[in-house]
Amino acid sequence: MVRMCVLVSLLSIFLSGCLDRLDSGPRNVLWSLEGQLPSSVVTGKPRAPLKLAYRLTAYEQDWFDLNISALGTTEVRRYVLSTDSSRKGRKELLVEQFNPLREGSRLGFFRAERFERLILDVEYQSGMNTRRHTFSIPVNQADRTPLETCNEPPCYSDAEFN
Amino acid sequence: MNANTTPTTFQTLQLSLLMITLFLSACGGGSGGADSELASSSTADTSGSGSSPGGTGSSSGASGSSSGSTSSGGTSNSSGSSGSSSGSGASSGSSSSSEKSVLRLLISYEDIDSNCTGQCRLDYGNSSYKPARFVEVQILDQSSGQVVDTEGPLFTDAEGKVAVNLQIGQSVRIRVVASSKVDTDRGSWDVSVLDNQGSATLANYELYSVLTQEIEVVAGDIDLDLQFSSGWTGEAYSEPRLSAPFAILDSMIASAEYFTQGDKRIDLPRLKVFWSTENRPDQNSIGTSFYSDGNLWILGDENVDTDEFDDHILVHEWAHFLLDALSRDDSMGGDHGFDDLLDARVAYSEGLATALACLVLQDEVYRDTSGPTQSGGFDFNCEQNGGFVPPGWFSESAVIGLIYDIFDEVADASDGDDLYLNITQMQEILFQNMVAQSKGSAATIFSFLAASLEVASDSAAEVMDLANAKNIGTGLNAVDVLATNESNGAQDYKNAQGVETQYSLPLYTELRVNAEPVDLCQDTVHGQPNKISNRRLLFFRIENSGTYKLIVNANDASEDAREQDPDFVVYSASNLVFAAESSVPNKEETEIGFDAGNFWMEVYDFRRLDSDEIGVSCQSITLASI
Repeated sequence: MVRMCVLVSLLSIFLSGCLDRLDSGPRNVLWSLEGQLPSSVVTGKPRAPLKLAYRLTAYEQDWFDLNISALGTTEVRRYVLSTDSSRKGRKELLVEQFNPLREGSRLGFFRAERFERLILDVEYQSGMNTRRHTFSIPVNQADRTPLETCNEPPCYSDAEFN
Repeated sequence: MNANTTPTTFQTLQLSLLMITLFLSACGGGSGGADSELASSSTADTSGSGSSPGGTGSSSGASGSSSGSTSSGGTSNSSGSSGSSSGSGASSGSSSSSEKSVLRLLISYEDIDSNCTGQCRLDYGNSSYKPARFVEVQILDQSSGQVVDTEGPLFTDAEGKVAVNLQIGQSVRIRVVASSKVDTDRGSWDVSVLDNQGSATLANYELYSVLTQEIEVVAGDIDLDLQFSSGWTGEAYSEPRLSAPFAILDSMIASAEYFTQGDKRIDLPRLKVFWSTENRPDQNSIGTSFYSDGNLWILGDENVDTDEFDDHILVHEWAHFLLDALSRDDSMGGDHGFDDLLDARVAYSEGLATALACLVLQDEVYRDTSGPTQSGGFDFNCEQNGGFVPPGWFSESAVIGLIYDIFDEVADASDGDDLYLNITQMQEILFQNMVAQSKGSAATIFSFLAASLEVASDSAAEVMDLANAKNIGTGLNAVDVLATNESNGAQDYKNAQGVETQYSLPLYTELRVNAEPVDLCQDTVHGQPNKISNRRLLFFRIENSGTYKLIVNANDASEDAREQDPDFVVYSASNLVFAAESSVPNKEETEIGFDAGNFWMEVYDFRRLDSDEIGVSCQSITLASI
């Protein structure tokens, strides 16, 4: 556990250093996107007692940062940012941050490979419990359209086995 | 069916993902012609062996049910458990094209429990195989690929069993479809689960189905045990997630069964459920699990958010379907949580749906798992209802606790709950009295309580005690659909900036024809666009059919001088009469032809609702005959 904390601390220092370099030099913003988690336009199941605002900014040379602020009163303990770059569901850890600031916390990362979304795991305090919730932030991807539909329903998926 | 039973030998075929155990009986009695007691029906009949839709898993028949088939007028009485029955007929071992064997299927799916002890998670160590009840089964001829004529679709019974006579020598494949169509004296449902491939677009999607390998029908009875696994292999879903559509389907069926336990027959319209492993919780996919216009959309995004085994969520969304189909639901939807102060319609709709989830599942802990390896999530106790926000009609958690207390069978001294209204009373409240209420009011906790007081007049004091305990109708002996004399508008509850709402009450304001304008204000103190005080409600009565002019003018009582975009929407009960949503600044007006009757409307400033800034907007509203 101690070893893990040390590693995380070193990682944070490393990333802070990277971000300092970003701060210190000129950097060109390529694009950015912002929104709320969960999206305020969706309706459906009750959400976890979390509401976040984010702004994702892409810079030259494959640098990104994700600014997150907590909009509610929930106390966030940790952010873990990852991505799945392929349809295999393989997740890659990008950065994590303990005890982030409520009003705005920046998670910077370097990513050369194209990614279609970020996955943000949030650990937060809920009463006496620590709970986790996961959000998906879509990036570089058009709206999903159905790949296959059938002309004369009913049609069947027919999962087969050998 | 001939009750003669002969010894059987067993042969087991293990398939890689779908485990099929094939028991071949050793040709003892052979088989006669199509046994008249075997199932084939146009819809599943849940009453076949003494079970009702209200019960679960109590059927004792080996075969599927029958109605309208060759036989028995709707019930099956085949002989008990698998392996103990055989077809009739004298042949012994010899097969000819005219002879038949009985194919008996036992179909089950793997269900994963969720657990919030410590951290919420899907508890893969606690999975079990449950019967795939009342699901459609097809027999496909291997050579032609066509569905074998079984005199109508086959459906499993309450134990996941179905049986069919097949020609000896015939090669068939079995297709199990994630679809259930049931019609009994208690009620009916028609539910299917389809693969929407991550898209939120409506289209003709494929029904989820599982197709077995080729099976050659031999002399003697055949028992097949089909088990659909979750695909979880210890660290990930490395195998196809076969059980998910059937787990979803069974939750839909269990929900319908719960309501068929009442005295009133329940007929549900067709329901399509769209689930996919690509259904992601972001705006490039479906966003979240939700209900809309007769369809459910369910998340399936591994390591982020899957809901196929989150039973409370499935029933919650199904409850929205139920209310839409058979009761009243006037929620505009939108983001909501237990820590929100909501529009009264949203708080009622969402609170009721969650309370019903806890009641249907007889599990007071609502659980939503998510995250890497489905090892995160959160829970909420319907009985204890958390204290995220102050109680009141605007709190979905208060509504959950109140409705759960009214209908749960367990007395709870801690919150004074010794009331129990049964399912028939619930049916009357939701499907009769609320539907029959004045068309000049929306569905809120007040209209629910007003109907409850009518249905359970003998328990009126207990109902109001429970409502008062949630700061609803505080100090009142009764409530009406308009929340007359309601005094709790969360006026003392500050937002993060230390500001309280001032425009939450009265919940309704009367608008009179050809009278002085009514002045109203809205605010976004607790967020938007579906939060408390965002939209103000009015009611009015039209005595004489005719054309009327409705005008909403921005007035200078607004907190700032910014331009408004006032809009209004008029309803009769839950039916939209007119939506006036032009972008004309500071004014919205239209002429509407009204029949005589009661109406209600909502007024809001779209620009305010479309902005993150906290503010107040005010308007003057007039209704004049032309």
